[in-house]
Amino acid sequence: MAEQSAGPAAIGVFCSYVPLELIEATGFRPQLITGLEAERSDPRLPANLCSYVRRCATFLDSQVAQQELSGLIVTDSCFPMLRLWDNIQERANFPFQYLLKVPRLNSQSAIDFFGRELEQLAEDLSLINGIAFDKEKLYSAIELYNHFRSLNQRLLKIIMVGGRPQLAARLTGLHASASLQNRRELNLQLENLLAEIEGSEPDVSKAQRPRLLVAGSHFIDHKLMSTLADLGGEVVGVDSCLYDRIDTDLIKADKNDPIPGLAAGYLYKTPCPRMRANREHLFQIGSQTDNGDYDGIIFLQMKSCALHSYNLPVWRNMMHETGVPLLILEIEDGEWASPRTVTRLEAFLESLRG
Amino acid sequence: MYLGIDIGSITAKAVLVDDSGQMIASSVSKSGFDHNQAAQTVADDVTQQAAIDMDKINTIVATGYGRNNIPFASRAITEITCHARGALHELPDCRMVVDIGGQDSKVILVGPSGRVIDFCMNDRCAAGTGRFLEVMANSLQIPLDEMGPLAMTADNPASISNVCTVFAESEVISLISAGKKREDIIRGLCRSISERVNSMVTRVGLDQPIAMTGGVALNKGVAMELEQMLGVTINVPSSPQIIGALGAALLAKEEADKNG
Amino acid sequence: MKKVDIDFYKRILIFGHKFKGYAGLEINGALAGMQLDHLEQEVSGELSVVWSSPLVPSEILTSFGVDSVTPETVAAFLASAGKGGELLLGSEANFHSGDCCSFQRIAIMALETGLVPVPQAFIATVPICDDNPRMSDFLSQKYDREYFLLDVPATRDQAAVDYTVGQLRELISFLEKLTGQAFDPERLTTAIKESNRTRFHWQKANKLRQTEAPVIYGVAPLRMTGGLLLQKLGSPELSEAMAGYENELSGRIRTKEFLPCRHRLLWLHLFPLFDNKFMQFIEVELGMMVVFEESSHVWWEEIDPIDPLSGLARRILDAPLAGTVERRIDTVLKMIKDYDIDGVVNFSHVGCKSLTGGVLFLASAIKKAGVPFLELSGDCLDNRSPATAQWRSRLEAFAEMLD
Repeated sequence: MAEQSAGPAAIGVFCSYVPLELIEATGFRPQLITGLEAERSDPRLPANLCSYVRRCATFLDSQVAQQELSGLIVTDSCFPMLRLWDNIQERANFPFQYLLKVPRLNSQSAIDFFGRELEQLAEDLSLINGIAFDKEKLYSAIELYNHFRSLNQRLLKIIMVGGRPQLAARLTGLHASASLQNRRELNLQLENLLAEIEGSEPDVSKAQRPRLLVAGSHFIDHKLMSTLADLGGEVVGVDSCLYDRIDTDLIKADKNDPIPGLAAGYLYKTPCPRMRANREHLFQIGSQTDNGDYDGIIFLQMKSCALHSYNLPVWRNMMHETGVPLLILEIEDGEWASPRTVTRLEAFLESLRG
Repeated sequence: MYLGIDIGSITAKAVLVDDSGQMIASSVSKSGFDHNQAAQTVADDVTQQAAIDMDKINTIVATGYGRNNIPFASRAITEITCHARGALHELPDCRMVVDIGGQDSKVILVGPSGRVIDFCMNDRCAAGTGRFLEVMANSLQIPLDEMGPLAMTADNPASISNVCTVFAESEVISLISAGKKREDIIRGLCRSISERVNSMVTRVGLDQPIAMTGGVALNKGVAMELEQMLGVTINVPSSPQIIGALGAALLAKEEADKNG
Repeated sequence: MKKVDIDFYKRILIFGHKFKGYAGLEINGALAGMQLDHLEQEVSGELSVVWSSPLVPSEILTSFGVDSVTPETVAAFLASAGKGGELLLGSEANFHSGDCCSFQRIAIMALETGLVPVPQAFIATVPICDDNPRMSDFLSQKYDREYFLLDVPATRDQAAVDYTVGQLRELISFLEKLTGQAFDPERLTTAIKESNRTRFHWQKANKLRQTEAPVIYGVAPLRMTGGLLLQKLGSPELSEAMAGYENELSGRIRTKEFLPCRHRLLWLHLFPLFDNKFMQFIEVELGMMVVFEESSHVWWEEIDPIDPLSGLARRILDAPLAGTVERRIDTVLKMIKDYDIDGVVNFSHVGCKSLTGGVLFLASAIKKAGVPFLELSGDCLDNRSPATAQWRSRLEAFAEMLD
């Protein structure tokens, strides 16, 4: 495993329940694996596992992973993830391999349990670097990430106003590269983007475009966002189970003992359907839709993600009640810009414009 | 004389072997809806070729999907056991058989005596089978037997990401409309089949020498892709589609020898 | 809401009981009768029923006088009665994705079509299935019922036990609110003792199946175990039935009613429930006798009636199908030895992401132990277009391979 010549060694992280701050604070560089790194799914894994997991399995065998990553952290968030862990145990040989247990509740006992899990992870990570786990460093990493989150919140507010059709694509584009970048640099880029946008007025003529919420079980590829803009739509909201959990709500941590705050933050963030609190989140989207925030909703259903599949009738019902059109787009392996996808998006936008 | 009959999903095959186990006649025809009729047709054909009467045949073994619908066969044995036996005859040290038929593809691990040690078959969908190629040939509007030679001329194989025949077909149509060259699409399809087979090979564990049997082995593009993917030589017998029937005939002989 | 047609169940259960087929045992009839009784009581309002995942400790529910039904058992029953395909077609029309397991989709449709009564509440847990909690969440919203999620980590260290014990306490509070009764530890002690009795007879029956030649066809225990038994642990009727099962086995061994057996199979996961001839084909025609099945395995220790919660927590956490695949591998390798197995067949049910995802490693470990392994895959409830011919070919070839 090659040490990076410059900067800290990278730890690959496979689900957005892993606090990146913790990895940063123990002297490593967190690299969130989005599944987009690999060209295709690992054919050895059965097709009823989602393409995210099957692509991650392909990525593990790649030279890039072998050369760049010093370790991996997987969560027990769902069965496909747990099977990814089994694959790592059987096939991979990274110096650090860790299964992080993440509760499905956000009750106090769940936060306590998760806090202890994080403490153990922090100690194990520090041990490889031969240092003691330093809570102050964790607190400053949280501050760094909170700054990123607040920049992100400001950008999302501007996106919500409308009149800047390519902005969502630009933001998600920066996020897509975030996994490879230093968080400080990313913050700088977001600040630059904000400065550029705050200095210009939104194009009101473009406010006539259908306002879209893009939701789904994917790390949403920015190519899809920009396709939507090219087709005459405007993405004003993003609700992906990967995107929001990392990038919006600030972590409220205590300087002397930041772990409980970090644990709570990650369990309280926008819940994916594995969490008991998922239904409250859906209600929230329902009421936003009821307020007229969106003209149409695109739900990207990752093929074989059963957790999200159970919400499909709920989405349909909710949209039926609010009268807002819904497009459920089942995405197989990396079909972000395939003609099949584009045709459907185009037809949906045509129907929104009447 | 011993007769092996293989009733597959698309074609019916018969092989006649003599008392020393040498093949003396073979026949291939469409299976159709009446398996018994198809079996009769290929059986008649081989007996005519050998200029013998049916009653000169000592034992008949039926194999393939229609194996249980042949009343004149003395025994039914699965195509897995038969392909292993037939392949071993064609390639004496053979340790692994890749058989891609009309609706099934299988990888068989063979022991020294022709005994099946392990095997793996495709799941229910047609991806990675002869049917898959047939559907795709249809979309590309070219005869099935031209696919192999065309695949060999590809210089920039298309990437076919979908594993499902139905989706892959729409992907192929998209590639055609995007102006992708026909031979590159075909080579991409061959690669996609090979990937399927590769995952089955992984499941049972790669061993060699490998014989490739079944009608799809006639397509050189698939064999070549598979060879590159596995990094080993793929041996294709001169008539790969009759190996199951050959194995059945050899097993018929072995059974007769055993019973004295 | 449509009235539940009890006669439908009577017809099927009585039919099933009278014509036990080639393999029926007394216990199958006893369990069918017990289910029918409970259903009648539920419909008449005498019995309060909740739907729960197979690993939710039914002893706790029993101590509140609440009966637990696993939705998977409901689905299995309806599929055995030939209704699987029809209900799945309906679920597709209701926008339930094919990515959801067919057990859950059929259970959802069983409620929507009024084939079974809507339960009082939904209680789900996570260690062996993602789909059951998601279905419970969905149904509890749809029918405005309470939903309890018993959260369990994928490990079994002390921290996991402590967390799970805390979760079981939460479950008790949930049931106090649901039933309006205070928790009575003595009633739980009684249920635990009963559950230990079931476990005792079950384990002895399993031990009897290690004899040289089989005295029963494996399809009988395959049909009764799993969810059906786990959901009734703590009930005296189940203890009685299990004691009867043990007696039936020992009686047959005493009178040497051994069955012909060409090969001894270990059966893993499920089998196509809609196809009554499927197991018959394997056991009678091919002579590959299922001498043991994964679903009959008793993996937990006797539970201490004085401190039941930690024992119950351990039973959940120690389940061989929970967590990482290595646990399942270790358990299966031990079964191969204990039951002197010639070959292992795993029917991978496509809806199950949890088990199918690990079969690759399971297969290689079994083969490494020198035992042939066959994987069949398909949907064990969907009778619309089963791959019967392909399954049969594979099984025949497997039998040829074992010869």
